[in-house]
Amino acid sequence: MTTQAEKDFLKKAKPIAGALLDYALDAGKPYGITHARVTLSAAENLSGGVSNGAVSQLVTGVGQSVHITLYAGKRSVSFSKNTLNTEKIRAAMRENMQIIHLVPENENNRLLEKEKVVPQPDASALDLYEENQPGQAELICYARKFEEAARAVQGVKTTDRLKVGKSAWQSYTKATNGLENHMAKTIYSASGEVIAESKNGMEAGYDYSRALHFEDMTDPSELGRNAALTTIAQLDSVLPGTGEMPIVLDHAAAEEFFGTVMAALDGTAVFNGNTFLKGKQGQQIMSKGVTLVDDPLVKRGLGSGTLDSAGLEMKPVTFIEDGVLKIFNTSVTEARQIGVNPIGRENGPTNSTVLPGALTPEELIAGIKEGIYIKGFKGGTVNTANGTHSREAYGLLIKDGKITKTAVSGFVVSGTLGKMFMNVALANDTPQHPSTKYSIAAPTTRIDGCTIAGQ
Amino acid sequence: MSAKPHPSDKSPTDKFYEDSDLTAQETVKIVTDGLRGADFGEFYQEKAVSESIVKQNGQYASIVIGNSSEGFGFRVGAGEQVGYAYSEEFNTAALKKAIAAAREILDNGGAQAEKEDDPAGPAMETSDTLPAFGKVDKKLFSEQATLSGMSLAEKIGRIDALETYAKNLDSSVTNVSVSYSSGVKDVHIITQDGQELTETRPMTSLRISVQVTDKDGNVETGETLIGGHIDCREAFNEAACRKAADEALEIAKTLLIAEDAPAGVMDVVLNPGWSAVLLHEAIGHGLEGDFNRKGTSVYSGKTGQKIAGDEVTVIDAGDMPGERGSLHFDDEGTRTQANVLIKDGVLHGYMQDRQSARLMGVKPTGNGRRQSYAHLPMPRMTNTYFAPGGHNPEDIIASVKDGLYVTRMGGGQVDITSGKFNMNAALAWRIRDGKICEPVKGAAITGDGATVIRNIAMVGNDLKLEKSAGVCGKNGQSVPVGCGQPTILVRKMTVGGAGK
Repeated sequence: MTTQAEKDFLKKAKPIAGALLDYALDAGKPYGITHARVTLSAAENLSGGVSNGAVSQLVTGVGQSVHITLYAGKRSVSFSKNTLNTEKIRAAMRENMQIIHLVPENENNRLLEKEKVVPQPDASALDLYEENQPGQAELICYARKFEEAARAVQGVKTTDRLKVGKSAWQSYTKATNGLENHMAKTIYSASGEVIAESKNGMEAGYDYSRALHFEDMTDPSELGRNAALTTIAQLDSVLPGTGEMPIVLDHAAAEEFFGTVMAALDGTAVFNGNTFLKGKQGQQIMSKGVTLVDDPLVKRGLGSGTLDSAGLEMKPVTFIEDGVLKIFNTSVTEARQIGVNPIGRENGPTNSTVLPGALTPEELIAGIKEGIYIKGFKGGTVNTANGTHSREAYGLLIKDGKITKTAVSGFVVSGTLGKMFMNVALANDTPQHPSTKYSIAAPTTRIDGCTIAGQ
Repeated sequence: MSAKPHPSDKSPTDKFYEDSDLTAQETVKIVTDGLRGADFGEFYQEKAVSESIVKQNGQYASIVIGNSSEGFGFRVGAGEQVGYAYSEEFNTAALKKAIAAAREILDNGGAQAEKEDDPAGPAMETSDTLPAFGKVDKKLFSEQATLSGMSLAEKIGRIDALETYAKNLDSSVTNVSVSYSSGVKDVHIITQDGQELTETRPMTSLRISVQVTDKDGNVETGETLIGGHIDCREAFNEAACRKAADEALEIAKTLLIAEDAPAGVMDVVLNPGWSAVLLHEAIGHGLEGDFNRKGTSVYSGKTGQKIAGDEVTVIDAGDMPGERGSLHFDDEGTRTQANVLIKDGVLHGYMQDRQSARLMGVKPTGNGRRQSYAHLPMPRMTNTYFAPGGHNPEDIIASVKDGLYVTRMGGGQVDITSGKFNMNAALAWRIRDGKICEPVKGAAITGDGATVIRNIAMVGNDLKLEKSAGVCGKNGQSVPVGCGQPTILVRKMTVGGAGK
């Protein structure tokens, strides 16, 4: 079912995009323009913040933009403008037509071959755009509940930067290779910081939720309470000892770690020789048992869609299977650069999942005499070219097979990516999509052989 | 600035009304009416143009020419409450709609706006009396910047030449990337008292990455940047480009022979210039007014207290000619100035926007900044630096028995509330018995700001400001910032590396 807002948008966008494409080919003829691509997008944003029960911030805004790429054979040049004023857009097109002959040729920067472009499969069953959207009052009510629940927890000093927002976003792309793509999403997000204090000082923590439908958002009271409890758990944290020990990553930290894995699979990194995984397709790059899949067809999934912006159908793909590298993460251009087939992920991975292992989280931790349960990484360096991993982290100490209440922070987890990837063991608690938190849903993950730099 | 006499009849605000049914006079009236009864607020408008060219591994990955973005935001505030509405269309209907939407928080949100005079509280001490930089009334950067100072053919020619130069520097070079981006942002502000301000802000960045590979297949990349409040002509200066390529290669080759950084607690010497990003994270953010009025910074309530050694003086100055974070006025229309944050180890005050200043009973300090018209302003740094001390850099290094000398700081981040920060030192050197020894890589440096600033043991006399690199993120908004410091010795920092 297509919502009225989507119909209205398409009614406006389709003729503009069509006319701009026609103009590109007609006016561009003397300049050798062979192809063009036009994307129109529009967004309505709304956000509210609360502080001490009162509304502290209300922000509303609208935006629209056009993005156009002109092609003259193997030459291409693009621009974007945040106006739909046709006269201005045409003027910018004419300017780019006049200079396109100066652009060096790059045969990888072409539109997808016409015969590979598919019509957009119906996406309405994915339910990505909410028809009846909540207004300001409902967003504020959510924020108030979040704040109330957080402040009700003993030990909380205050909350800060508590915000709830909505963005209703649509885009329509049309290109001369037959591509036609309409995307529409409503994206709700909430986040807030909790500050707790003990005799040893203050600590800040946070929690967040995001969803395509407001009713899918985490219950605000649960969110507030969780933000408070995780903050309090990190109070009085100490610096752990220095040495080699196993680490166990919670879902959030595991998502960051597998984000690093995905960065090492990036097409541009492969093209530039900036990943140690270059040339390792088909090889064992992670421990056996690690399978990383990506599914764009999750109902109400944050990354879901049916057609990528190049014109390829989006289907589930497997990046890593039982530790073996199956495919790199590439756009059409990147695929041409490194000589592989494009994978229907012009805009990157969608809803990724690391399949569960066999052990419960407790069993995964049981054998660890001394280690650290990591709840998150902060900053640091990850270099996929030379394999350096050096990131600050925080969490709880593990002792004699159990997570203790001793909070640790300020330490650095160092290791070599190649070795870390081969020392992974997974628990069986992978979160489900659609997730209110994770783009990569990964189970509790144990990595052995890292160096902890603490005291 | 509009306050200056103009040679022609054309007003510098004309370009903001070009496509609108509104005149300056009408807009000022609608805006000031819309701000009636508010404690603070303003109309902010911008027209920005930009372009970028990326060449990597011998191919032009993208050429973007003719980007433009424009729009306005209207903000109205009372006490703790702020209403904001923005739109890319600027006309009577859009402005009136934005004002109505923004005012909703005052009219229906329960706020009690009590318009008082701005607080007569203390103004921030400025650095007039300090030796390093004085107050300036001249232009901080050229407002004549343009994207068309060079043709596309010339820009491509320069990028090709730079790439060829870098590739031929050494047989170990396996990849060269050049990434150029340039923008000019015209800003127009109408303040609550009806004053119109305009400024043209250029910002250009030319990044060069040189990748080297040794005979065992080890890959390292060195990266350098040219940039700041300049336009393409300055960025593509041939001598500067070659120097940047030379430096990038030198870094990459040093990284190839560098060992993994050690792990443990040790004395760290920070080299002058960009290392001050550590100051930016560890101390600077904690001195922003919004956190301090809410009491959520580790430095809250400590004005007048000794928080660092006698040698430590920290200044944030938005009015330094040619520096990256400089602005003639901030994004709320407050004139920028040099603010002394810490003087001789004593905390003097915080960086303020209008809202936080008002709620803390002090004057705004010219630090209210925003990423764009679609964003709310908040207290941000401009150019933050340590004033020079009395030590020769050689003496500082000679005083360290076993430690680290950081020459390439990467980025970092901080948790304002606990003050805990982490930085990544892309390249550093071991110091043993006062001498610089072998290079080390991949050092993460962690600590908490309040402790670090107390542990600053020596401050050098070689202050240097960084123009090219700083981009600061806060609450999802990015703004360009400058930072600087002389050589500084910090005792007992936690260093995390994979080495022994």
